[in-house]
Amino acid sequence: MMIQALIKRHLKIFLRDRWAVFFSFLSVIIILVLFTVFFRNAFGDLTETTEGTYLINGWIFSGVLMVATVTVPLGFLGIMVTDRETNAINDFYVAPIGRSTIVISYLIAAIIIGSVLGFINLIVGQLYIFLMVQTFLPLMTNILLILLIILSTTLFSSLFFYVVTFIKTSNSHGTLSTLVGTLIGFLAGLYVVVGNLPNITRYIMGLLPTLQLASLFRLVYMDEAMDLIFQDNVDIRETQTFLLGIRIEVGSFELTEPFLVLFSLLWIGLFVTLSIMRLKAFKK
Amino acid sequence: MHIIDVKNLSKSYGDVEAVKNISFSVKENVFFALLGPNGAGKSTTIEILSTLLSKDQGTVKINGHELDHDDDAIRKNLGVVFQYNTLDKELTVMENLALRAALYKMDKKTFKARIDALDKLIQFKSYADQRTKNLSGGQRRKADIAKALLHSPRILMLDEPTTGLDPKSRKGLWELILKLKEETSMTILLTTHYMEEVLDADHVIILHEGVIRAEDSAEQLRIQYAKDTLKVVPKAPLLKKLKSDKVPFRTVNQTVHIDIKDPFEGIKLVESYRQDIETFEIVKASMDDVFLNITGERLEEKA
Repeated sequence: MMIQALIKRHLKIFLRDRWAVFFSFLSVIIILVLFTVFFRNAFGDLTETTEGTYLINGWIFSGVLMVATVTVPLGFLGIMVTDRETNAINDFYVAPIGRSTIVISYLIAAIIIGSVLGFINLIVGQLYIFLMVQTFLPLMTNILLILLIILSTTLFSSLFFYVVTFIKTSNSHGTLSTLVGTLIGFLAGLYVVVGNLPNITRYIMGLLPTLQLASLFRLVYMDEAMDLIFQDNVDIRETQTFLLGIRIEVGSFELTEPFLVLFSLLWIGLFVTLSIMRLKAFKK
Repeated sequence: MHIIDVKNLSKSYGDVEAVKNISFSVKENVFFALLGPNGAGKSTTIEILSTLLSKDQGTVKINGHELDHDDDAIRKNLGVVFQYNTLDKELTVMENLALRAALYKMDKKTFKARIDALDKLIQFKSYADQRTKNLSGGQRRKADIAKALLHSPRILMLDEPTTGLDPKSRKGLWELILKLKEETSMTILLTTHYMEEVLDADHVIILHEGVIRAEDSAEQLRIQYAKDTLKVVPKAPLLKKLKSDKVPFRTVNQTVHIDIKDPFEGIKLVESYRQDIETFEIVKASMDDVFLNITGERLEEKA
């Protein structure tokens, strides 16, 4: 009951601050604009067929979905930074409720808001795709994407929760958000063609959760479009999927879906453990 | 019975000793004030007592519960109003209060009854549905106090509650605090650097550089540590007569100042030298005089 009340409070505060919500989506908006204005041409002839448009839009919106699960929790966790900076959190500390419960309420709220806004992104993306190619993603794809949104939001919420526990001021949080917002397009392989990057860069990016999650989102989101485009053309599919960072490898080891999910769970385990260890920093 | 019992409390921040081995007790249902300039250790003391900050040494018992061992039990009976505003600006006053009620597991019926009771005392309902960012400083402070009192605590801690308020809001808030003193059976623990605020307190502690320099009622402190002054506009022969009678005095801007034990001593002197006095006034010793005589510093300069 007490943690629910705190979560509700955090969510209300975030949603009522329209600028905070807007800035959490800023990277998403920038990516959409960049794709529409610049990157669409990079896909060449693909834009001329319905299947091609389906594939490109799948690429764009899978990327947007993944980026939102990164930037929204980070933006949201600014509430925790502000509460600590302004000492508003002290008012919770003098209530008969454990400090760990108070601190964890921010993490849970970050996962909730990241997931919910991710679902809204998913719906918006589907409506856009429907307008362009008159088709919806299959039901199973939608279910998998919902699960993926929750998985990705949990991962990045726990990662940034850990990071944010070290941040003392809203200014520092703003700088971090800008930095992440700028880098995320590259780290997720949105602004760059992953297959054309030097080996070492691809190797490092493959080790990071950003490209791993981006790959998972693409594999699920673009599955039907790839079937339609490549049909039985296995070789071209293989080349193109690695080129576009839909499938990724670390060295010569391909990170297939089960491995990507396993890695995501391991990342979550790592960041949750680190965050729990950080809770002692909140003790009086 | 003592509701707060502090023994040998110490707290340092790195090399800076904020509170140095202080001990004091607070009786139930009294208005207790900690007076001192910024950096005296008042806020550190209240943050320790309100379970926010850990102490380095000493024991603290509040309501029979030992600090650091039974903090949740202490918190249940504690209302704290901080120097800074802790209301969520994006939420309405009522939403802020509802959150507080949930943190104290208050059911809806009790919550409603408490809101009605608090409104009689504080009169905040007229702006209860406004977001707190739209309220005046005085209204926000009152809402802060309503929030601190929502769970009917036995102890209310007010950490420099009037700081940053305009004179009108300050006066309004002070009237509310006095009303709380009169109409509730709470123990009120106040920290302040305003001397006039401790005049209404039952017991005052003067804190200076982390040490308790004196404690008593405001009146007793004045009697003990400062003298009232008889200020006289003299006629020509007065100075000579005072000198020959060996009455200590000093002249300030053509007036004669004579330290007196109490107003009656002043009246006696006025009657003795009536022929040589144009006019006079008796000025009561202020808490600033008390503070100056105890610490060698003026409170207002340091605050």
